[in-house]
Amino acid sequence: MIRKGFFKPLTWFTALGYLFLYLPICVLIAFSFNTSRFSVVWKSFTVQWYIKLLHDPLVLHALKNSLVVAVVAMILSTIIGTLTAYGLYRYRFRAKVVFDGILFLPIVTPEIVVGISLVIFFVLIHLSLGLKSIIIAHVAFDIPFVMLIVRARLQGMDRSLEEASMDLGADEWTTFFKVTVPQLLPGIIAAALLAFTLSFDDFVITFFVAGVGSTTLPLKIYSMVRLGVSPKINALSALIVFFSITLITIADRVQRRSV
Amino acid sequence: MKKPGLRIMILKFFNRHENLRAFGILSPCIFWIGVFFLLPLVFMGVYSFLEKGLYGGVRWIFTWENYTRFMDPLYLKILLRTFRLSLITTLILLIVGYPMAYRIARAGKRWRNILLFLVVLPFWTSDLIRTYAWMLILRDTGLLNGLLQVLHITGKPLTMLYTEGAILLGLTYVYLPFMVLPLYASIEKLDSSLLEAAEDLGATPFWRFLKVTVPLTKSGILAGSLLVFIPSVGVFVVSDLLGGAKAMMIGNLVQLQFGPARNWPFGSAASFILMAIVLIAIFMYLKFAGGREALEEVR
Amino acid sequence: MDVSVELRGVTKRFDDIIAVNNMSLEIARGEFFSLLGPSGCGKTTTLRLVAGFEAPTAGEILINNQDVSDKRPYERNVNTVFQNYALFPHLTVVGNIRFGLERKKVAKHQMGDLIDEALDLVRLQGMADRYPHQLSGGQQQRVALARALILRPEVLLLDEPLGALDLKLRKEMQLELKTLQEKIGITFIYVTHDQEEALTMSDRIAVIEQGVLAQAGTPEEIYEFPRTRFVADFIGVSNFFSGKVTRQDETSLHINTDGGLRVILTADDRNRENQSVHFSIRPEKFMVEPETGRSDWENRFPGFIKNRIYLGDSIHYVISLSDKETITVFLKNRSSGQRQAIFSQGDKVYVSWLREDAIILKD
Repeated sequence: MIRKGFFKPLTWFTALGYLFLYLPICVLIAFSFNTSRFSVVWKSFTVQWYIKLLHDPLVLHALKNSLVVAVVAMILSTIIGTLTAYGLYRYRFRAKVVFDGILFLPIVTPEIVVGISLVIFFVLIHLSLGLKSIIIAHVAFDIPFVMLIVRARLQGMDRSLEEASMDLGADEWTTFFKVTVPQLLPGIIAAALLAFTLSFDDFVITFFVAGVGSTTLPLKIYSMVRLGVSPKINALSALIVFFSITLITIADRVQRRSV
Repeated sequence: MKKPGLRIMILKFFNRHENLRAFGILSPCIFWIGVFFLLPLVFMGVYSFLEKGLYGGVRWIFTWENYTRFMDPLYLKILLRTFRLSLITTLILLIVGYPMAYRIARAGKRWRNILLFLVVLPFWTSDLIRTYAWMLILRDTGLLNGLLQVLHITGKPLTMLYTEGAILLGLTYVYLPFMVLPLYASIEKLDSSLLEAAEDLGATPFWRFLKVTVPLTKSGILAGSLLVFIPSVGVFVVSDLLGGAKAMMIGNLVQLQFGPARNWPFGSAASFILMAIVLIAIFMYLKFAGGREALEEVR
Repeated sequence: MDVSVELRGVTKRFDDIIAVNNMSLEIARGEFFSLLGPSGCGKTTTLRLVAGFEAPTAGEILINNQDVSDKRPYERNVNTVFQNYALFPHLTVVGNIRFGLERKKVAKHQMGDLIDEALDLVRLQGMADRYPHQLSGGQQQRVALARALILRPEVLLLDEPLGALDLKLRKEMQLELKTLQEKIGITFIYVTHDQEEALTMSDRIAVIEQGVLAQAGTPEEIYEFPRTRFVADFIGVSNFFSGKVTRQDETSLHINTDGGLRVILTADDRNRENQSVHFSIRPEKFMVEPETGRSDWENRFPGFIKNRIYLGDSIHYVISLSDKETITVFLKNRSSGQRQAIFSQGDKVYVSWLREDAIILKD
């Protein structure tokens, strides 16, 4: 094992690492409650920036767009991703390696490449940019993530459960919904929550495929940032971070639950 | 026995044709990824060989020009900067991430789960917001400059935002989880009796680390480096917010062509080069780390 | 014979491996039939073929005289008790038991009675609302049994169902299963690699070697008259001899063994003159007497005790008959009234056996 003398600095170093990870977020949240417009000075506590947010129709519109996009993308990608994970787990076929590789690509392809290639594509097929194009793009990058999370769950599933179900008189269809899906449910829920978060938070791809009137929250934040730092951005960002953290924590809890 | 209904007949048909059934269940994914991911990439490739139209758009005339333009020192500089910053980020994160991953792997089970979760959490939260938080800290009237002035370390604000240093800091910050997770996975698998054996055989701590720990966690080191290098090369948000126009990277160049410059073919070419760098990095990774199992490691 | 399950030349091939090779079997209604063999011999694959989890590459499977070869598991009137029980972890005991009834669309008011009856049968009253992970291994096993039996299958398939239990519980469950099977009269096909288990429970046993049916018969037939060296070796302990037939008349075979013993066996209906022959003798079939013994059995040879293992109820001797032939002999520890000599290492003895106790093997 590691010597005591070496262990302690290591612990301190790691603590600093975590401080590095979380300090900026804490600063952001703190300043969202600061009365001063200039974030360097702490004046007094206020929630006025949050109230201003709630009265900004543009922000509310963006929120609505974000929710619509994230919910639809979550539903579609969860269904498709789950089916894909199941298909890859259940069947053996020669092209599987190729298929695996192709599903790996969307994860490693830089977002900006995905974004501009989709813009080119949408323009070529004359699909007007808007919520529809955003959803299409989000489903595409959510699928591999859903697939990976559900697949991890599948790998822990006892194959004979499906056989037992068919043995007891359930056909493939019934077996999938009565036995397989309940077994996978924690994985599916976790995957859905993460797909929602990814979609809700996505900026780069949305930036390219969004059209007039389909501004989402991250896009709204970006355009506000372009105009300069403001306490309102801090408040909005703090809300989004809080929302994401809540969803991810739930996803993590669900995923850890056995059945 | 029950009479075969229509559903049974359909199921039977698919049962006889296992491949068809696999295809059936995979077809939504094949369709979506094929049409909305692969096909656009192909079009992007095609675009990169076309001439730019007068008012945005393209003219369907073949040309190499979009690629030869990268010989221009202006763009070459952007390419080199992208490479340099990505490599430095990877190195910094190896140095920062390894001790962290090591410490997490050696923590008690309860703490380990909490610490890991705290690393994963930023991974799933918005890069945009996390990068923006650094703007609050780094800008001329930001937290850091304020502190420095209050403590009388500097008289007037230092320019920290819109520098390469700011980009490096941002990349390090945003991609730290990408490095720690794979490192943790390989360090956690490390059999501590091997370290004891090395010590028993007279290895000093430094030699032990270099000759036993590092080689045995090679897979994590390589996977982490890949997972940091790839998104760094393709980064847009961080360099846009923290680097601005003074320190452009490829991602910003692409965005510029699709935005104000309205030169889609040139943007496509830049994007294609970006994609090529990513694929080469993956290819090299597979070569060094050895095949498909290594790919699993990345996940 | 009232045939419940029949296999006709069934072959199952996985890529390059032939798991089951041209197997033909008939299993009678109400029979406790065991598939016995070492792991990887194809016995589980055979069971899975009957269940419908695998489709045969060639041949036919008949259940109740109907060809079910291309029927799915849910179209066959058979049920399975899995090796790991495969209880649905998201359902309670009742939920598991009800699963099959719901698929069969049994009326709600009948279900209750059927479930109570099934719980009764496997003595699980009061466990109805527990989840599988709250049950012991033995209890889980019973749920698996109840879940399958409640559907009144034509055949119940059991894949090493006792394998995960400890020895004591296993012995108990063996008895319980056997009693249960006799009570409900359903055909059982039971896969096991434990020869003792197979001998204890089965009406008939099929011994399988590398995908091929080596021998099928009652436990007695299998033990007393193994047809091949594999069967003789796998079931119980056997001493093997090889030799050449020097003379054959109507009743006897005169054999010179490879170790130089002149042996007389009962002739079968084949002409074996001048052919090589293999035979086996069970270790408990020998008579051993001291050097001074005076018996007049026909196959009687001098030897000496090489090794002795005292087991309490019996004594195992390793006796050398010649340079090449060493045999294992089990002698019962008898009543004092019929006490026989106990030998020590190095003792010179006479070993003899009756010609009927030697079994001529096929290969």
